[in-house]
Amino acid sequence: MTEKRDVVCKAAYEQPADELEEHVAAVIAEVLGLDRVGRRDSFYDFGGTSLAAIRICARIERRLGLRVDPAWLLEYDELADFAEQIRLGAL
Amino acid sequence: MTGTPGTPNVPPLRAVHAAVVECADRAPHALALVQGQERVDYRTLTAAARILAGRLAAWGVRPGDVVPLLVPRGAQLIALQLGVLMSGAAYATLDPRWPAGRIASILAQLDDPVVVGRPGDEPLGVTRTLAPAPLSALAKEAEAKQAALLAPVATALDDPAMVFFTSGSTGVPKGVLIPHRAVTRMFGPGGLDGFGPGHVTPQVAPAAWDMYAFELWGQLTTGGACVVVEESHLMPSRLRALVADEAVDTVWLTTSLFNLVVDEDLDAFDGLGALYVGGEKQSPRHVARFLERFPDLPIWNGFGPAENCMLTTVHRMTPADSAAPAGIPVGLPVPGTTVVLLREDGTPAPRGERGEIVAVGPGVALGYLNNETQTRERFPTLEIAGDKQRVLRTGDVGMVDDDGVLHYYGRRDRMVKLSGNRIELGDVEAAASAIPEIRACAAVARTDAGGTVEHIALVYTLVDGAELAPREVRKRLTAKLPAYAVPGRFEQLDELPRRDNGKVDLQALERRPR
Repeated sequence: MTEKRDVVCKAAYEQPADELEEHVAAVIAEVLGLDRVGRRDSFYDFGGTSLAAIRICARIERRLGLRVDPAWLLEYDELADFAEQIRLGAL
Repeated sequence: MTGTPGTPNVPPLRAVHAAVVECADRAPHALALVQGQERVDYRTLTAAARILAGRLAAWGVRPGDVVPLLVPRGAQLIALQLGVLMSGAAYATLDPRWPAGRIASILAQLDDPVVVGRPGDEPLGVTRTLAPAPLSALAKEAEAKQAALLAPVATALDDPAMVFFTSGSTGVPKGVLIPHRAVTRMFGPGGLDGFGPGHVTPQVAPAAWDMYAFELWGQLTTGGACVVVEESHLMPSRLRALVADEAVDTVWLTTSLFNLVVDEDLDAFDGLGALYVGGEKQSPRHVARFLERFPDLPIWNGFGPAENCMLTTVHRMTPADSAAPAGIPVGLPVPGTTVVLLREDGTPAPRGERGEIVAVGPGVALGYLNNETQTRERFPTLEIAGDKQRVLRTGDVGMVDDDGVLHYYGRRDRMVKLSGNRIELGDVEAAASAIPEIRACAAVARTDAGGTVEHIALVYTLVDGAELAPREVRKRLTAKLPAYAVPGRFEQLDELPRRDNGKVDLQALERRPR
């Protein structure tokens, strides 16, 4: 069952800014059951739990081959900030 | 249903630290702990703990005291915990990341305690500090002053060893006081599968939780080793690396994390020797998938509340279980545990009939810290098989089938399990009600088709004229509740649905679509 992002979230949709953000947005949308996720959307706005964070990170790790700590998503809950943490972690 | 200590094939009861010292005497150079690059053998661990025991005594810790520890998980915390036990006291490990108010309400339950933590955490209530340092440095200190070391304090099996904090129903965390006997009862010759020399377990569970003791003392009281995972969550990729690099073979996972690994990366379990899964209802679909891939890997359903330390029953799951209409059973009592089922009127429920699950034996906690009323209520003395015994009334409903196997059916009250964490819905409501803008609220647990809790929803109404965005409600609750108890959904209504008697209709809210 897929929910419409614009129904759950009142703020205007902002498109992911680069390839990494696009990949991460796709995984978050997939795990949380949404049609799309904007770069300024908070994971918590969609009912994100620590278990959902682990699932998202496990999937990103497998697809992109990067190390991703669920604690990053729990702390940096907006997509663009979370993607930035992944970038920093890969350095 | 019973497993009596002292009978053949049941481990003897011991003091926790005495059991660790025994392992150190037997094999001083055997590996005890790994954290990152730090590798600690038994001799180093026990020597460091003795130095810390001496410091604790010098700080005024006396046998029988409860010592709160605000040190993050790791080798140093483990040595400190062992040091507390050597000094004859009990430890209560708190998470420095908890809201300050929650930590304060726990410290207020103790009488002017010595609180050990990191330098800089004094505002949280820390009175004595310990900077991060490798255990080898402390062990060297021990070598230098052999004779001046604190003489070991005699400890009785019934003496308190540790306190676990669980969610209380009125907003104040409940401390469960655990004696030495409860921890050692299930480990050793004839005890649970996967512990002892050559076995390695990752330590991932939060330090305030009873399964922390399972991961840690299960190995350290029997000669096995523990690898500290610093992250709060065990990622499938990390599990894979732990098996390959550290020979990890015995693992505890909460049910929801187990299900996740089965879904996302089933092969990450490859190489394990024993897997314990529990804390929530099992998912037959995930267990079946696991057993299809690993038919010979023992996978145990582990069941039991913190009040009967760590586990009460275990069941080795089979493909047949996952197809059984009654669901996956929780099994037979662990060593040192007897289970009886009582009807509402207090008489024993015969096989096949439902009743409250009551635990008897050395696993039963000493009670709740400074809470006589709740202790009397949950730990009454009952006549069991002709003997008067102190028992734990779990509040769980179950049934023993014709084969003597226990099945679990749910709670009698409003406690739920989410990702293995115990949450009292009343505790969440107490925190939300304290927000001035909130007029009325109810916390409900929403479950998936299999009955597993998916999330906690807070449904609330605001006082007239007030405005409060869901994000703001979440933020305020984060300042009061541990992260796992903060609801995942926030739903503002104009009025809460009520039953004829005026009480909030919780069942209606549980069904409410998201």
